[in-house]
Order: sequence, then C-alpha cells, then structure tokens
Amino acid sequence: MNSQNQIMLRKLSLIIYILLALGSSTALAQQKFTLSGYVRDAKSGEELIGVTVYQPLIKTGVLTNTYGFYSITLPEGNYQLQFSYLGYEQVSKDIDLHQNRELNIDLSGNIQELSEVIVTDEAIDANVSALNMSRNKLDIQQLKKLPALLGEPDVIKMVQLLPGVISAGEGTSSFYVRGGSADQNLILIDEAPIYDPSHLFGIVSVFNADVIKDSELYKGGIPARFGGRLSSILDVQTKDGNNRRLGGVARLGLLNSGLMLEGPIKKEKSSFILSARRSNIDFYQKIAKEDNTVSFHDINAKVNWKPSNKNRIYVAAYFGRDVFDFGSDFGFDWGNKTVTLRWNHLFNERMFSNTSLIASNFDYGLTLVDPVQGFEWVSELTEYTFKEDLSYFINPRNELSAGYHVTYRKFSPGIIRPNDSNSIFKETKLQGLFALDHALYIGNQQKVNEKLSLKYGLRLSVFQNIGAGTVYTYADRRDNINIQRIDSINYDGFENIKTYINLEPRFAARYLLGLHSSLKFSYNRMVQNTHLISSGTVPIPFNTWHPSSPHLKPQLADQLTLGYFRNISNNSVELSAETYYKNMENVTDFADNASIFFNEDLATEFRQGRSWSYGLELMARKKEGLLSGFASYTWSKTQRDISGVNLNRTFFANHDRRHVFNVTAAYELNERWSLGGNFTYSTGRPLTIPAGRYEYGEGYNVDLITERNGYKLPPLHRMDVSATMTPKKNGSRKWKSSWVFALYNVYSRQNPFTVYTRLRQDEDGNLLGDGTEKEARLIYLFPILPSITYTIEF
Amino acid sequence: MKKHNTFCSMTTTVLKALVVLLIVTSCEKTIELDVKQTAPQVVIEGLLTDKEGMQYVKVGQTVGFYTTGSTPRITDAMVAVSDDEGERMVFEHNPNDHPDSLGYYLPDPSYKGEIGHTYTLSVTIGEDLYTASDKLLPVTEISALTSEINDEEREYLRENNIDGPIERERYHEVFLFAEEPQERKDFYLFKFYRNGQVLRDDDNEIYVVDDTSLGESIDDIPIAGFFAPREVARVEMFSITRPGFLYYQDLTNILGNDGGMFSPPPANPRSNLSNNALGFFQVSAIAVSTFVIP
Repeated sequence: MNSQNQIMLRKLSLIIYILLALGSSTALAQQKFTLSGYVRDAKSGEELIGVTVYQPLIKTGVLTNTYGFYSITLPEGNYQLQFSYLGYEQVSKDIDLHQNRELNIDLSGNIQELSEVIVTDEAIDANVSALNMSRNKLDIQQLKKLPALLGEPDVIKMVQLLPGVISAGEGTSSFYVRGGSADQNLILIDEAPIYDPSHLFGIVSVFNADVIKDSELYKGGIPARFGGRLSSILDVQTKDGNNRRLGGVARLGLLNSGLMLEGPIKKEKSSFILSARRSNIDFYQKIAKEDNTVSFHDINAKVNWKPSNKNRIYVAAYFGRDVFDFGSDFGFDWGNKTVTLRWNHLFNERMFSNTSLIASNFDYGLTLVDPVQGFEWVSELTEYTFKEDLSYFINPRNELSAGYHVTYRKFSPGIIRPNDSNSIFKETKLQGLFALDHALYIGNQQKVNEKLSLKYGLRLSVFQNIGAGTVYTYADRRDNINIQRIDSINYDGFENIKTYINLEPRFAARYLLGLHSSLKFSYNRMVQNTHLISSGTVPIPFNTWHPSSPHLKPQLADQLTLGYFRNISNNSVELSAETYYKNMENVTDFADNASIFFNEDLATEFRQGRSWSYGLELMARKKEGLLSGFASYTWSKTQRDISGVNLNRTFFANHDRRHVFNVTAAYELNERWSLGGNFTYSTGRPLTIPAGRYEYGEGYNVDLITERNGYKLPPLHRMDVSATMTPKKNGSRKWKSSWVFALYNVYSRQNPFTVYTRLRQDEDGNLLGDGTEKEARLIYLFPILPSITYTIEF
Repeated sequence: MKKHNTFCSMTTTVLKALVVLLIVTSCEKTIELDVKQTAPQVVIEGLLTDKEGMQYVKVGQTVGFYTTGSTPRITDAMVAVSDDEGERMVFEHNPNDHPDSLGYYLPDPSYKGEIGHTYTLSVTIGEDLYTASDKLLPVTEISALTSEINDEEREYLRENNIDGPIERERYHEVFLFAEEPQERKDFYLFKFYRNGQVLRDDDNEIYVVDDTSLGESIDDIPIAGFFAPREVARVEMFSITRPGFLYYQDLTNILGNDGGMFSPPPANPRSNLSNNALGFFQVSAIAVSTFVIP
C-alpha cells in the first residue's frame, strides 16, 4: 500500500474517532429515552419510508428510514408526536416517555377520499427542512393516472421528466443525469442492480408499477452508503405484500397484461407478493399471420417474514426476459435476474442493522439458424454482493451510519458457437473478466442547531481486478490497427491483477432561512469501476460491461450543488432552484470506428478523458389537492475532451441538451373522473452529420465527417393526456375497477429520433437526379397513439 | 428477397436487427441539413495485386454534401509505387486516354506484385505528398463454385410477375467452396459479378471477412444475388491486411450508420494514407473463379 493510501486511511480513522466521541459525549449529558418503532400502512401493513415523526413543542423531527423504522431520543417527559406522510391521514399520539419505548403506528391512506386532505404546517415541509437535495421521490399513485406510452405506467419515463435528467429520445429507457452517461446510473430493485432496464429496446422498463412501493432518484448529495456509479442512484423498492388480507391487481392493457397477488402467509407475521406481466404483441402478430414474434415477460416475487419486532427477513426476486424471433431462423433475447435476501435486525432502540445477500445476472443471446452460417452468441454478467449496513441513533442530533459492502463480479463478454455440424463457424470464446469490489463507509447526519443541519461521510472504495485471466501489454495501447502485444501475464483464479483505491468524501448542509425557505449545499465524489462498452447514444442490450483493469482506469466524478428551496401556500407548493457543476475524470469513451463487439484486444479501443457539465434546475411541485403535479426546467451544458476522439478537440456529449422543460399534472375532476397530462420540450440531441461526400470503389458514395456532434437535431416536444374513470358502483363492491384512456403525442408531432443519409431516391427506391446525390432522412417514432388500460383491484 | 450475408461481420447483424425493429415502428422523411462548408479533401483509391492488369490508383476530391454530379478527379498528380527492395514503378495518368478513366493512374509498362512484399504508394499533388504502405499476403484458392435452384426466390419471382425473359429465370443461387488455412491469420475481401457486372445484395454492401471464428472448411457459402441459366458468375477473392479489413469494415459502418443512435457516431474510415487523405491503398493476392450456370 502506498503512502497516499495510508494517509487516506489515517484520515478515515480520525473521522471515525471524532464521530464516536461526538456521539458518546452528548449521549451521556442528560437522562434521555428512546422511542422507536415501525410506521405502516393500515390497510396492507406495508412499512412506509420517509414518514415524518415530529414533535411540535421542541421542533424536533425524524424520518422513518428505508425499512419504515424510526427512532427518536428525547429528554424524559410527556410529548405529543405527529406522524405524517404524503397521501395519508396524519396521526397524533401522546407519549409518556419515562423509559425506552417501542411504538408502531398504522397510517390510513386518503388517496381515494377527495374532500379531506390534511396539510400540516411544518412536518410536511421536507422540501425545505430535510437535508436532501438533488433527490426526487416518484409518486407511483400519480404515475398510474398519467398518460403513458401504449398505456403502461413506467417509472423510468417519469424519471426522464425530472429536472436534471435528460432522455435519449422517445421510447427509450435510457436516462442521463447531470451530464453523466447512461451507464453512470445505478439502477436498483430491492438493492440488486439491474444492468439493462429495458424491455422492447426501451419502450417499457423492467419496473412494474403494481409492485413498486417506493422509488427515488439521487442526483447529488449522494449518501455514503451508495456508490459504484458516477451520476445517480435510482433506488426502487418493491412492496412487502399485504400482511392483513389477500388482495391484488389485474391489469389489461394494449401492450401488455399483468396480474399481482399479495396477502398474508401468517397474518401480521408473514406475507407474500407475486406479480407477472406479459406483452400482448405476439398475440396481434399471430392474428396478422406474421412470422416474426416479439414478446417480453417479467415476474416479481417477494416473501416477507417478521418473526418478531426486532427481526424482519425478506427474499425478493425479479426475473425478466425479452424474446425476439424473426421467422424460424433468426432471433435474440436478453434478460435480468435478481435475488435479494435481506435481514433487518434491531439490536436495541437505537441500533439498527441491515444485512443483505444479493445476486444479479444479465445475459443476452443471439441465434442464427442456418445449416451453413448458423451460430449462437451468448454473453453474461453475474454478481454476488454481501452488504452490512448499520444505523445508530446517537441522539436526536446525530444519526450515525456505517457499513461494509463486497461484490464479486464475473463478466463473460462472449462465446460464439456453431449450432450445426456443417456450420462454417468454430467455437470462439473471449476470456472472462473478474472483479472484487469492496466499500467501507461511515457517515453522520448532524443537527448543529435549529437552522443548520449537516450530513457528512466517507466511503473507501477498494477495487480489485482479479484472475483468472491473461493480461496483455501492447507496444502502443492506443493503436487499434496494428495491434502488437509485447507481453502477456497469466493470472490464476482470484489472483490480484490491479487494485484501485479511492476515497469518496460526501457532504451536505442545510441552512434554514426562515420557516419556509432554506439554502442547501452538497459535494460528493463518486467512483465507477464497472464500465459499459457502448459507443452509441442509447445503449442496447447487446452491449457488454467491463471492470476497471490495467488498461481501464476508474471513472471519477466531483459534483458541487447549491440550491434554494422554498414552500408557499402553506407548504402545498414546493419550489426549488439548484445549480451544479460536475467534473468527471477518466470518462470511458471509445476510439472512432472502435470494434466494441467480440474484440480480444478491446483495450486498444478505450479512450478515457475528461467531461464536465454544469446547469441550473428549477422545479415547482404541488403535492396535494385537486390539482397535483410538477413543472421542471433545466438548462445544462455537457462537454467532453478525450484524447484520440474528435481529433483531440472538445465536443458536446451525446446527451447534451441545452433546454429541457417538462410539466406533468393530475386533476381530480369529480369522484368518477380524474385527468392527467404531460408536456415535454427539449433541445434536440447533438448529431454527427457529414460536411461532404466522395465516391469510392464501385459506386459507393461516402459521407465526409469533419467533427463529432457538431449539429443538433430539431427540438423534441410532445403533449400526452389521459382520463381515469372509476365507476360509481365501486363503492358497494369488494373489488374496484378503473379505466385509463390515454392519448400519447396529442398533436402528433414528428419528433426526431435520428438522422441517416442515403442516395437521393423516391418512395419506391428509384434513384433521383444523376444517381450521385445524397439526402438526409429523419426518423421519427410515435405518431398520436391512443391506449386503454383496464384495472381491477381487489 | 433478402439473403443472409456471412461476409459482413456479426456485429452488423445486431445493428441490422435493430434497424428492422425501427422500421416496424417508425416513419421517416427527408430533411435539409444545414451542413458546414469545408475545403475539398484528397481521396486516393489504390489497388496493387499479384495479377497483371489489376492495378490502379484513382485520385479525386470530396465535394459538399449537397453538391450534385460526379466528384472531381485530379489528373496532374505524380503517382509511383515502390517495393521493399527499392524498385520503383511510375503510374501514368490515363495512358490509354480513355474519357471515363480521368483521375486513374496505371503502371506503364504493366506490372504485378509478389506475395510477401510490402509496397509503398506515393502520390504528389502540387506541394503535398501522400504515402501509404500495405503488404501482399497470400490468398487461399476457391475450390469450387456450384449452383442450386432457390425455390423461395422462384416463388417470389412468380408472385411478383417478373416477366423479363432472363429476369424471370434468375432463381439460381451460386455457392462458394474454399479451404481456410487455420495456421495463419487471414482477412478476405470478396467481389461478385454477374456477366461482368458488379453484384451486391445492397448498394452499400461490402463483403469482407475475418477468419477468427471461421472453421477449416468454408462450404456452401451463397454469393450475392441470383442467376439465370447460362449467366456467368465470377468471384474475386482478395487477401487483405488487417488495416485493409478495418478500412472496409469502417466503410460499411459509415455507409450504414443510423446517425449514432444505436451505432457509434459516424466517422471517416481509418486510412493507411498519410497527410489526412481519405481512401486506402490496398495490396492483395487474388483468387478468381468463374462459373456458367447450367
């Protein structure tokens, strides 16, 4: 270990010491007791995340953590505590606190009741009072009422509307956060990473809205417990299953249908949830007597067991697959599989632990059935993670968290196998790549005084590229034409090839300017050791991932964010303005004309460099009332400077878009009808277009390229509307039905997807002019599209 | 009817599948690009083979994207090729004074390369010198060409009422057989002809192959297009170097680029020419086989 790393470790141990000292000194000062417990949904028993537990007299509050658990330590006395949560009735409890106590609270949802919406004065002002910035919670209930592409409510499509987020284009599941590329988002389902969130190349994402309990996007001020990607964390948690009664949702849509069932296994003690979706497209294709079939399906399952109030265990699994068959001779498929085993344990009122074992797998395959040219191509990525996270509620002013995570990753970039004995192909395999990724973190959330709160932490990332494998040394690593391997070293299984150690400081501060406004600041450094090998704008499922290695350095990002937050109209409207600057080093890019598929010398294609992004994000959100929704505007600029790309000149990143404006709103018209709408506008994406052309060989007419991303596509804008009808007779039935009617792209705007060039020709393909002329063709995807979705809840 | 193409790399298969999908759900229209004005760039296309009469160097220029007409040729360049033993051969501009051959430079007297030698091209235009080197590698022989009736194509011609006397009989598929030497690294470029005319499945198709995943026997590989009885199929198989293979692969990529959505951003092919010239100087051994459809 070199001296720099030792200094880092010494710094880390000093900070741990200070944090511990801080905790013990204040804890000893006074006779205090701790009240703790879980907050749950009264109907389903589902634990609620982020519920405000507030004591109005001494103006002290805490939030329930990701497990629905809260802990508040107060001086001995009598208190009134308020429990409030968006979309739920507020509950007040009188507590005599003369000893450590446990108190579990059930909150009733008021989603269906339109009349009584309680807006509390301070407890619900999290926009201003919470430390979080650059963080957006997604409202799943509202999502289901909003117009969706082909009628399928999709969390990722909502993420794409948030400030600071840019979408690659319509019908994609890729998103870009604050200048980061698509692979710099850590997408989690019950803590397990999803490597490709798309179904049907992105028209739908892997997230089934019927099973999502909570989803949140972190764009900045990222807590120390998260790491591994540069730009964002999309943390999706599925429901635990109703532990009080059997229920479910059946959904019949245009694109796909689904069924969700949940219920108790043993009442109040254990529950399950099972949900499956399947696309209907191949059904229509059969009717149309088409040879091609396209389908996807996915399954979410979870079993939740609570042996005691101190222990909770769940096993959650996701399995999804897309299958495309073109006739009987060509096809491909891909899918994600994840399993999470999680154990929450309460050591005492103030110490909470979460232990997880996680497995995740992504694979794709491509098959050509042909007696001569038949082959099968498969690629796979598997990882196993162990995580131990601890929370320690030192006192109402300090909440300490610490943990250790370790992941083993195995990358199998590709195997090509002949699938017929007469095939001209022979079996060819790229060598596997392996990595061990350790992280140790500690952080504290501290309330300094009434106005100032801080959150600070450190994450130590120790990444190892390990064997088995052979590492080549090249005469010139960046020469991808005349590749000269000058040396090779063989490594055994688990033998260390290369270690990268990085220290990631995290810091956030909130300063209250008054009752209704605050200033927030955050800084975070992130490190990414898993790189996506993709050179297009939108990653496709056939892209592979690669660990940091002797030839590929970890990507680093430093981000500074400053924000002003204000609530108006009794906290019913939240306003925020955030500005950020992000500098990214060793951003992974590829040489012009890189061969990124099936390349044994992929290292010669890596080009790493600097990228930087800055922007301003404005957001207004109305959470409650007849009209709810948000509007966001983002101005941003993202550039790259990568040696060996674009003749070493600075260029705009593929996902640079100057202006993005989004509005999404729902309006409760009456008991039967509610309306929803989206409007989105964004500057077109940068595009590389030819400056000239030339003739070559036997009649090839070739474009001349002079610079990368020097042109912008026309702007994208679109409006979608929806109406949700809940029939009146629902009131007397045991089950409730609803219809969602939606129109996507109301004014049928021809939104640009991409531009390609060809010889100038008419609709039938006959060349026009003298046969040498070229033209540019704009591809646009979706015209106005109606959809109907029928849902039954029981 | 569209045929499978083994000669394009498998990666393009993936991207093509995506394009198929796009076409299912998408529409398109012609738009006017606001292209930047740039100075013309030199384009050099050179071929040197081990067969007499199959060498040329063509020198031309680029034009603006929307400029119509043939691209300009440069007729006053100084062109020469030298081998690694110091022998130098001058290429004369259009020695036969053929009006279609402006910009073409041919060796005078005739000349051919030898396997194992490296050749260097130099082209001087005014003050500017452009050079490139490439190696003449051996090529494997084409062991046979055969033909077979393709029923699907026959059905297709019938259904679409193709009634030209020759056209309606063009349902014979030609197959190629060769032995692929496993002990050395090979790259091949194929050109197909029907009655002397270049034949491709698509205007932008280039038939190059890397032998990495090829087994020892290449049997029953269909060549481009379909033939009628008595038509002549000709296959030219060129040995190319890795830079040559990459050049043609890059050329395929830019010709079929989707605008950088799924495929990488379009880029000029990697050339072996110095001084930022476009194009390639290709040195090859050739195996030729012809076949008359019975």
